[in-house]
Amino acid sequence: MQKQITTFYLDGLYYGIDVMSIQEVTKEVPITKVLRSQKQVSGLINLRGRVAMAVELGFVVSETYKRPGEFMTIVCEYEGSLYSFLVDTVGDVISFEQSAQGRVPETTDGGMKNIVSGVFQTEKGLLRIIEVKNIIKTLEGTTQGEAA
Amino acid sequence: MNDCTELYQEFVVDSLELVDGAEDAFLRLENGETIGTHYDLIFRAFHNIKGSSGMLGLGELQEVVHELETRFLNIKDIQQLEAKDCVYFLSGVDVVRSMLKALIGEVDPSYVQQALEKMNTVDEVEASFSCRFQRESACAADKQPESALSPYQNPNYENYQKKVEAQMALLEGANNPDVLMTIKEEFLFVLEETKNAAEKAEFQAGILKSEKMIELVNKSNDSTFGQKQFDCIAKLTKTMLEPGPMAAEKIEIAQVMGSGLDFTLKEEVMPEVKTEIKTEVKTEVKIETLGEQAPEPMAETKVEAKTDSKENGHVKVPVSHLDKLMNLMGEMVLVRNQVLQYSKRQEEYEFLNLSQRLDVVTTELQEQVMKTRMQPIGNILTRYNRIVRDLSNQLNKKIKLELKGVDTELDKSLLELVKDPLTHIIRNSCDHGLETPEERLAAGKPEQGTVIVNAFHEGGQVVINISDDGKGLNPQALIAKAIQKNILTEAEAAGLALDEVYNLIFHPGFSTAGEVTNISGRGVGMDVVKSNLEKMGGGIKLSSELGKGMTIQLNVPLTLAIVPALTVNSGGSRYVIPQIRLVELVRVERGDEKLQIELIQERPVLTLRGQILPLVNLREALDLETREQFVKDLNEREDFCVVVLKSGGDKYGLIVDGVEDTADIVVKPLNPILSNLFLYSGVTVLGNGDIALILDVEGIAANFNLKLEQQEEVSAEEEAKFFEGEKIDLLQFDQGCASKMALPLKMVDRLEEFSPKLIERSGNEFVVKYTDCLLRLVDLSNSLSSLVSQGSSEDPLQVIVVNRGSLKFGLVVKNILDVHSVNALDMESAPENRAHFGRVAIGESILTVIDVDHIIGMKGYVIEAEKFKVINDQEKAA
Repeated sequence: MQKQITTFYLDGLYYGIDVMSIQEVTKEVPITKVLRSQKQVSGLINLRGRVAMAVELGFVVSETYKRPGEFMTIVCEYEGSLYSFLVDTVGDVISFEQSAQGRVPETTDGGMKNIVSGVFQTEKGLLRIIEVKNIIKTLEGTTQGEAA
Repeated sequence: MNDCTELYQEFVVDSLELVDGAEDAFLRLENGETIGTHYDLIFRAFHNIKGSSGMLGLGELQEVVHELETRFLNIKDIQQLEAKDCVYFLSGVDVVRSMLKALIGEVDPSYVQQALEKMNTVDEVEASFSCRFQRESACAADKQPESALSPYQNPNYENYQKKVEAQMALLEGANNPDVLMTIKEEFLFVLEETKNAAEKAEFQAGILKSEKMIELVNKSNDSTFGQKQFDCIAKLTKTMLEPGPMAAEKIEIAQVMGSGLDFTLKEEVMPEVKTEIKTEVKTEVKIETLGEQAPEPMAETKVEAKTDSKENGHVKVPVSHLDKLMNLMGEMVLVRNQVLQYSKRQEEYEFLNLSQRLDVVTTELQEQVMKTRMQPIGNILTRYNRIVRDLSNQLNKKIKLELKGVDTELDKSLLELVKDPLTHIIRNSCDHGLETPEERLAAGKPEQGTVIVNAFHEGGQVVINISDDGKGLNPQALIAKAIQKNILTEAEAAGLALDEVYNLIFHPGFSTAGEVTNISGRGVGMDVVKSNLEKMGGGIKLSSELGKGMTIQLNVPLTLAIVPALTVNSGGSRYVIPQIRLVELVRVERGDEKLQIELIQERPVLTLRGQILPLVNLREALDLETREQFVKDLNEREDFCVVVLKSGGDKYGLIVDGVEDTADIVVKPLNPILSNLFLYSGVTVLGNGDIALILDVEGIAANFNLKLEQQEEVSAEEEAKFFEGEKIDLLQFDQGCASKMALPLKMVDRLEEFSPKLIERSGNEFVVKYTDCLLRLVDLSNSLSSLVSQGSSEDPLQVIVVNRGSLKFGLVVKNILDVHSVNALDMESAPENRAHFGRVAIGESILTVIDVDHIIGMKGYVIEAEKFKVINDQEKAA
């Protein structure tokens, strides 16, 4: 089965999210900060009257992430809430055969292991496929961690 | 597939409404009202549900409703329904309702079975039921068991025939429009019946029968229902008689014409009506046909056209559509605001004119959109009739429910939210509040207890009062129960005001009921009711008079979606506080002698009109600054904005950087991940498109442990009392340094002089034998060690003996100087030095008051007792 993936770059690495789970891609937008929220949540975005929670995907993947400056956002809806994932740049949409998807190497660790569901070799390098569901779960996990 | 479920949904929603109507009518009948207008309503309900369920192929439901309908029809002549019949019909209504709900998955199918069994039990008890039917012919048909129904030996049809005959017999005797209605209904019924059975022959026979009926009716030459209706019938009968495969369509037409007929009956007076009906019938038929070609958009119109004739043009719209509409409306208001902002910088006349108009139209549109969500509260109140009826049977009490202000309008979503709390309160009133008839008679009250639900608008809120004339709350019983449940200690109970005693019932796990019944008394409830109401921004109050009854008042905001709110800012960001939480705004200026922020145990408080108000610094709550920074700020900033908020029953002050303005905001839900912070309760988009977070007033209070602080607050109040004695005496002493020091005289036990020779060193401490115990010396003068080591000085040491907890301490000072009496309110806090409690001006000079406990604490002593408690104890002892 063919799968279409929107690719993006984050911290120099190549990632992808299933096209079907993406609502839209936006350029840099003003973000209202939410103080005291976990590090990965950079704030809230007004998307034509709907409020999306901006997630600094870099922090989900790595503790030491540093934003290079400009960003783009990938907006996804999950369980009735809007999320807008901040990434460095958004690339092309590519198709690939689902069976070609490789398993996540056992050696991956940290935040990456939680959110990457599979990898895929492309001309531009190894593409890490991210599941929106996993990102949200990771975020929920960190809130609980903080509460405890 | 989707269309199909939609159809089901629509059917269920419609039918539930009809069932509700029928239920209400039966309840009224049970209360002795005459059948009059209720007849139509009940009949229509049963009939419509039966028809539609047949159309949707819901055989079981159809059977039940049919049975109910038949029974009902049989007792048509009886002006007043007997109570037993009502029981039967009410249980029948339950069956239908549970079946309907099971269809859309709201209740478990097993519940249907239960209800059905219950209905059948009632049925058996009521064996005499059908015997009361007076026309034998119809009666005979009716006794046929429902299960025997099969398409081929359609007893319904016979049934119908017989009934028609009976009706016709009746018709010839009396000129009653009701009868005609019945015939019409029967006629339609048979059409449906036949459609299901697909028995053409019977169908046509039925039509012929109808024709015969019409002839008869014509013969009766009645002036009241005249020619026009029958023209209609005749016309449709002719259409029906044309053979062909189009039977189903014709039935549809017949049905539409049927409703046209219904229409005529109501409009009998006008002679032109006849033509009108025809056109109307035609248009409706057209709409129906159109509807088949383009089901999606036309389906709505069809519903509208059909219901129009009966319900004054109400359209059913899913709430989600209204929500979307509301959202869009919010968007539009934002755009309007932006246009208006922009127009201020423009000079073009035309554009200004247009933006003005846009403003007016948008405002009006907003109002109207808001209105679409409003529903009369009667929609939910009427269902309590049934609850109270069932309860009164179950409890063997006579209870009357009075509903007032049923037209009061409330937002649909709020209506849903108050439903359960109301049920709970009404149940409580019936179960606990009202006494048994014997008790009531003994107390000199009427046997029948009354529960009154009164809804009205007041101050931008809807108030719902639920009052009963029962026994009221017994404060003693409440206290006893609270002590038993370890909610209160006896000492605490003694100090409670009556209101506070009543409020005990809102405590989780509290129940005064002697025994737990299946209705109420488990002690879960009132606290949930209270928190639910508070969640929606409302409140609950109660008043009671022992022996006379009690009243519970619910305050509900008009709408959830749009709330007036105050915008404040802190740390450069804007935050929003719902107006309903707001008590007042206070500005604390530096140099204002009466109003100052003080620190008690490092926590800021404000004494506002004699009450100590705990303060929360919003910057601190948001992690923008630390407590220390704030304490430093306290002496430097010119003024502070304090927003006084209510959280539950308590109040606290929120220190913000500035207050902006008030505006109506559209509350949007917060992402669940962020609501775990207990800082924000929602989000809103401000007029300029910026996002602002709505502060969670309760959450912030909880974050700062304000609830726990209540205990401390008591001590703070004691302290206030202590200080409020207007004058406090300060003992001034010389510490050997430049600043003039003092401590409250009340803390002082004795003033002593000791020779340095008597002082012993014990580890790092200096002690002296003092009466029967050891006195630990705390050196304030910084000279003790040298004095003791020299051992030569003859000058006695000046020691202030203070009693802290179980220990006595001696403060070694250079000189004891004077006692000053100062006004407690003049005392200023001295946050920069923890060892200093505050300072006060005496004439030209400043006296620094030391914090004795802190100083002793620095020496490593732990003082268990609270400082002011000690003082109070001393006062009491003295």
